[in-house]
Amino acid sequence: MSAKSIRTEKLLRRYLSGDITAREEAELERRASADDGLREAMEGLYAHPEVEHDMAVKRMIGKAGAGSRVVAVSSRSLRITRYAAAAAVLLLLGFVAIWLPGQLSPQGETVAMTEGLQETPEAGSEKVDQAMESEPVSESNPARESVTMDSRELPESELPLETRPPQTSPVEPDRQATAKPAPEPSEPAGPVAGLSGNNVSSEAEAAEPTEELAEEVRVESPPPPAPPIPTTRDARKRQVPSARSEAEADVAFDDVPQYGVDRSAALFSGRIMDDDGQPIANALVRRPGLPLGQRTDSSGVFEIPADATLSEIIVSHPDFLEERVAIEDEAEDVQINLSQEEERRRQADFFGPTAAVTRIEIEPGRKTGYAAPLEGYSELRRRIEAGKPGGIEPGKVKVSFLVSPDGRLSAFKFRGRPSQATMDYIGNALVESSTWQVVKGKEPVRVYLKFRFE
Amino acid sequence: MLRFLRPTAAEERSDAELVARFRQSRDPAHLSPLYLRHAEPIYAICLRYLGTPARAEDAGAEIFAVLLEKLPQYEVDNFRAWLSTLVRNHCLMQLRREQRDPLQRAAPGLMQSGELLHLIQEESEEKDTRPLHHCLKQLKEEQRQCIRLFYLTEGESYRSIAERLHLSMGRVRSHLQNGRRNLRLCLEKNQ
Repeated sequence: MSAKSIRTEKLLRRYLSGDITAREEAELERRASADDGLREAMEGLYAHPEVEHDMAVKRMIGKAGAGSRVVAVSSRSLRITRYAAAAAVLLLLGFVAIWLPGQLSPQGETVAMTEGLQETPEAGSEKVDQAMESEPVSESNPARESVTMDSRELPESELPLETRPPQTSPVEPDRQATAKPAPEPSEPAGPVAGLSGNNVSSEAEAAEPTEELAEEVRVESPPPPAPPIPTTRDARKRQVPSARSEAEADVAFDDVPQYGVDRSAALFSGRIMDDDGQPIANALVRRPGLPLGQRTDSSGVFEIPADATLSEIIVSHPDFLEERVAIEDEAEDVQINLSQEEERRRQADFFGPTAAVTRIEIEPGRKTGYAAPLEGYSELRRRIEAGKPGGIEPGKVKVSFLVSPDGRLSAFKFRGRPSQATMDYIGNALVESSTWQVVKGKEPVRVYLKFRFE
Repeated sequence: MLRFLRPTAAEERSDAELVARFRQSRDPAHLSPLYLRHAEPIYAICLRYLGTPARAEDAGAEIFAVLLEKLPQYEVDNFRAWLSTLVRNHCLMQLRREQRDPLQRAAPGLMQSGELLHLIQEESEEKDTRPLHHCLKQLKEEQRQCIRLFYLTEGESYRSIAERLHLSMGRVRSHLQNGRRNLRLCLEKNQ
């Protein structure tokens, strides 16, 4: 439709709603030049360009309708009522969708309790045997019983997380997500065994008296009432899986602040190392503008929530220079090397390359590895900084690249805009003269390095 | 939503038909489509004279009652022109009651969109467009971006530019308006 064929009122309406194009606006102004009323109208609108005039017009129509009890207007208000009713229904549906998991959670608790009860007899707990007799709910539901039977047949280490079918509780994915951080903290290696169902019950028995008391309360009470809060909290602190299922009712609210991670969000993880390839523990990794972040564990590994807005992270540690790293691909494993300040670097050099080195073992089963040049980071950096050809400008150059498990280097990225000669030199030097390996990893690792040319 | 609420059958009818129907029935329900159709000009003229959106809303709402009373009394050939006069007089009377000078609000001097469209899009002709491009460069960044998008890209609207530049529609309208004014001033200075 050409602008000329549109009614003036419609053009004006399009102007107010913002849908007008340049040609339509020109047509509106042309008409305004021949129509005093329209010209005045445009002058009025031009005087207040930033006001939402279309809303004001709606309000004006509303006021006019309210004052004159027009049939058409009343039919309009009837429609408004209908829209309002529809909106209310939608709101209600949304509300139900949010609260449904909460309402179903008593079932989840029942399942959790049933499982706990089925498992504990193996550990020989007489107390729970009695509880089973007084617990008709678990026997009246064959589906649930079959779940517990199945879980008894499987290896213990897989029990709590993987054997439960999804229909037993709608909060199941959440439970898996919350389970993930459990083995993460830098506890001395090994106690992964905490995942075993038998260990759970024996651990529960070995707990302090208040814990046992709470256990009894839980067993004797019928399924619907929520378990006592102290029990839930204590249990979660010990990260016992069965306790986690009991705590489903308040997990939704409590977990987010506890881990600082949205369970539905992806995690961006990486490893912080020093010049010698040693992991740096307790380094703070945060997003620009946010004071809080995550600290690296003893393996130098960190995990922060990743979303589409994550573009840069800041890594800081009192003993090292702060590093800002641009994130290109959140799915990549990254490895960031922090440099020490000059003074500390010199002190460190005093010990020389023959100083004792302790390499901290990464916990078994971790997919993420770390990359290291065979000659060591210090030597590599020194060699490349010393061997620079004449054309390289002095200054800092930050580079990142992917190290494949087979040792190949690819996808070089330079921060800022170093000269072509600098990029060529560093890229070639790394590719041709350094040998890299990915230790204990199956995925490529992105390594961030900084060179300082005098 | 407003579009939904407008009676669709009345859309096709001319102003004259709607006026005739109302004059016959004197039913406020028959005045409503006419009022809804012209709501924007009514509001905008009130805004022109009364100066604030809130006062324009109130005065515009009063116009409905004025129409109910006056429309049956007059033979109206050109409803739009008659309505403009009615609204203008209503506002002037209100200002007179408040003893304010209705002429204190001078119309802002704007470069017309059509003029700018012609200047920007008819570059192939012999007309020298160098002053225009020189003046475009003098504009503030946001004004220049809005002007370029609106006048050089076919089909762009205030809304689409607002979405593209992450601005409110009011800001886009304001940037376009101020950009046009600054362009006009710059071009006049360079002539």
